[in-house]
Amino acid sequence: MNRAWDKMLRQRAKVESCAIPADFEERVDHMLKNLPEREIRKKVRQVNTLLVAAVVCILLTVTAAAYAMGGFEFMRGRSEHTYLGMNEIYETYAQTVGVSVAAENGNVVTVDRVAMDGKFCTIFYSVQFREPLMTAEQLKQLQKDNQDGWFTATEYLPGFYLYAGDEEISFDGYNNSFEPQVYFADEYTVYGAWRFLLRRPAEEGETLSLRGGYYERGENNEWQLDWDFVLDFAAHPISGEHFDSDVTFTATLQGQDVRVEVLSLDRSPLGNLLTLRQEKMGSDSFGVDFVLRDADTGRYIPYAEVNVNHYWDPEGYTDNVYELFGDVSDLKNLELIPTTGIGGISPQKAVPLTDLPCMDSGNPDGGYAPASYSAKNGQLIMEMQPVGAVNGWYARLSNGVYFLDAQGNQLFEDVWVEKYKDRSDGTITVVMTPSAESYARDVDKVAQVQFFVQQYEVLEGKTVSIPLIAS
Amino acid sequence: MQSQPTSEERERFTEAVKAHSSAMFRCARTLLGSDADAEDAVSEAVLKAWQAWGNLRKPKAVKTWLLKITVNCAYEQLRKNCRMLYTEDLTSYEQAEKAQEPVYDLWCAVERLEEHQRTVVVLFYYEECTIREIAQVLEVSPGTVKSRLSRAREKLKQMLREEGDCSEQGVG
Repeated sequence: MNRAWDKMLRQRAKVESCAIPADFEERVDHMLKNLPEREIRKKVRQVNTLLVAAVVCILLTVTAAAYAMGGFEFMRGRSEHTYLGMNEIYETYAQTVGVSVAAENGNVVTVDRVAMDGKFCTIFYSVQFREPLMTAEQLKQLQKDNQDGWFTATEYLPGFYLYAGDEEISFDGYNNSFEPQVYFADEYTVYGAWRFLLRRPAEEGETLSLRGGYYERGENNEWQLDWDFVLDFAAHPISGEHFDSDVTFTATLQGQDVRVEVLSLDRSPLGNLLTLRQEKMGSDSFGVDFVLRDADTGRYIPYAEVNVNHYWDPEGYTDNVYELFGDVSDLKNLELIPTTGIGGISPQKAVPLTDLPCMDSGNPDGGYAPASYSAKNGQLIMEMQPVGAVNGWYARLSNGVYFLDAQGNQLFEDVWVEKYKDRSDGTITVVMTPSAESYARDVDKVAQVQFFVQQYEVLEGKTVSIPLIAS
Repeated sequence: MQSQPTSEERERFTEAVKAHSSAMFRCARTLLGSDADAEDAVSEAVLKAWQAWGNLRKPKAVKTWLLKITVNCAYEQLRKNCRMLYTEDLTSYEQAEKAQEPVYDLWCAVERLEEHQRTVVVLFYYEECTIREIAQVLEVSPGTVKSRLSRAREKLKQMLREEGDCSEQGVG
């Protein structure tokens, strides 16, 4: 890393910036003076020592048991992993690898199992650090908070890449933000599952290399390689189906028409992917909005966009990848129907818990609606189910869900949110951890769930038919 | 246990937004093609932040929190493609044309980066966020942030060097 270059960027950023519009600050002032009224609760300090002690006991038990396990066993025992709806799939298709490699600094990386097809490669791994990442007491405190465990664990991990010889076959930076799957087992050990999206299928028996490098900021803020590793293993991909397509259509993106090509659909037990190539608008990589439907049954297919980098996109084009959820094994004819956003700021909708499961997303054409609610161990767990025509962009649920009492007052404070998409049906499990005090105070008062309604309209007149024809 | 927000609560929120409004605008502008859209996204972010003010876990992390809400609002804005295009707007097509113009400063070069790289560069160099903070704002892993930053740096170096606008020393 070039220290001088980094320093220069910092210096220039202080001077060469985007212009803030004239009167922007005045308009912000005006907005702040006219904020709507909102009711707040006075914080009451309560320490539920019994609850905290119970949670710590459970975590210690899990930790002790986990220490003797491999990465696959550890992940299988995590409820968050279960929310992905892939447990049975991985039980069947994740093959034992059992390879370890020691980095120069003594850290040991182990790949326990791998589940792979032509598009995906999920590795179940562990990293045993030679030096403790923190004290046992610090880890206990972290795990007591519950919400920081996985995020802190990712900070200590190198970025993972998959190579075949010198060829990088994984999409760098693949992370759809919904599934943080890395945990501390103890202060020396991290377990995790990492799902790669592949740029090309691996051959049976082909030697693949899992590579990783961990960088830290040294003196003068320059980046220094702290440790790295290379772990080789043989690929044993399962068979899947690949359907090429020559369907093209025109869609509207930010008011402009763009040409979109349907490149392919890949289908296997490990996941189903639709790949589209669209004309690029400027330097942005956003895909067009649409819903998917089985043309023969009329069933809408929930899906979500897969975050990939676009380093390998052809000049002038953006390749976007979408994962389809649910059983599409019988899909013969896919329909893609563009959508258009409507309305301004998203309205909020409150649903009484007694009305769950709810089939009304608040948007006439479809969306996500609350299906179930539960509260346990200091966490609030909400399932949002896809209803009607589901636009994959809104599967991010970036606005989250909230809880109200019978009078409509918002409950809980300091809420940490994690979201998991179930590949088997598109349900999104939202796991929320409020402060222990507010959980103890409010958990029995929950009467309604509130969420933002994503407003969009399905443009039936622009339906695109995509027959699946085997290559 | 209910009460109207105290003047102190409003004041704290107002101070927080005022302190970071420029950062919020820059973040939104990084993603959106015009000042007007960026202001809309900031407006929506302020309202949402006010509604969720009680959910802020760590007051010291208010900047990261505000930027995360802003980024989400900017993405929402992008998806609502119903707005009219005004000739004075900096549209994506105009950006494509600008790609042919020489780079004359760092912001100009940043605007030409891929969206994912633009965002991390703005958050890292302009807003001076840590890797962890950027990961929280963008909901990606810290490794992904580092990777994007690394590639963005190389691209910026190339762009600024090609225009003879690089004054780095001690290249190694």
